[in-house]
Amino acid sequence: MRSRIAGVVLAGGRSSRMAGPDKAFLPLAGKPLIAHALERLAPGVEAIAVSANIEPQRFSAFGRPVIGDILAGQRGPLAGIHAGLAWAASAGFDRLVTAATDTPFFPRDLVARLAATGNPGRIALAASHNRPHPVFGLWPTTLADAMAAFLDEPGNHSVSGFCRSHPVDIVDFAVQKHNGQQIDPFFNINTPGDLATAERLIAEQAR
Amino acid sequence: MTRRVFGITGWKNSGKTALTAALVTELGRRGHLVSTVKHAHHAFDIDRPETDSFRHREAGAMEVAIVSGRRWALMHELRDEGEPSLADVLDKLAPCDLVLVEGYKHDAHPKLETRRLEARSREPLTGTSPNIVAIAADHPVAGETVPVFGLGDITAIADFVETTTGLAARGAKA
Repeated sequence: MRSRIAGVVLAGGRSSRMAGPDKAFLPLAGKPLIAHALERLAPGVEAIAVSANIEPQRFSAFGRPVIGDILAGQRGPLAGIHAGLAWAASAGFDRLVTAATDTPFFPRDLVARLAATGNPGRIALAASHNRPHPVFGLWPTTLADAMAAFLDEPGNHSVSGFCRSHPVDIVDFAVQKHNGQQIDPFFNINTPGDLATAERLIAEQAR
Repeated sequence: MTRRVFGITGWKNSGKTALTAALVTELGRRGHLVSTVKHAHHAFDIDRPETDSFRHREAGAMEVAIVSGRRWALMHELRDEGEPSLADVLDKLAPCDLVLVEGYKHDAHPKLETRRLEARSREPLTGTSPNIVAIAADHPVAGETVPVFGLGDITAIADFVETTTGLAARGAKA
């Protein structure tokens, strides 16, 4: 039977997840970052949702389900991935692909490449320059319980920390060449300078 | 401390409170420590006129703690402050295994929607309320993608809550 894949864009909470306040709504090329992420991820999945804890109605314009954390004492992307797994499992999906909202050029073939490992029971993580980007992953929904148990234990609740105790396939994505410049497809926006760089790249691509 | 959160939402008279109470009992019987949050109407009051604590508050105390050897309650008057968010309220609760949240249909925690033919409305909430992961109804439901339970099937609903929140895994570990 073909595996069914849902997607979640991790838009974070008030401050700590993924970075600053409301990064999802930073405008890039006239659209908020969250819209870029949803558009990139949607074609590869059967259903797509936004993971966000604070004021879900802010996302209603995008017409996608908004899912909040189940493990409310937690902050961070792993709790969002866990809530995504629970949502996807209850809607009958076998796997969940996750993406960050602040990475506007993530590969359009992300889902296809991660799924092509042929190991539906294992985690597949995207990488570039041989460095994994664990919030860009394909997760069996059966991992929800193990993830909840991991989040329950004191200490490190990073996505990488969870992945260390599970079999993982790493899928490397090539650096994109752009006007002689090397662009990491997982280039993420952390500063106003990064946002300006992204604007410039989009403007150059449009020419 | 991790707090697992699961919601019960639905129209007025759809059976939310009865289901919440039954789940508290059943999940407690299974060994979980369960707390609840209930969203109420504007002027709700847990105090009564003519009590000493009521007089403290009426006199203008910002918070009144009322304490005995059996229970305690903390009343906070909002006056000009806005209503706290669900996240803020959850942060105030003591550590527990699971918080069942009744109401709060616009918040994004995973939740079950209760439906009764006699409820104030039969309009499904699955289209408008975020993150409804199951339905419990007193009538057959078609055309939904999430699991549908009988409103009285407390065992199956409690199983689902344990699975969805990861309580089941926690129980197995302990």
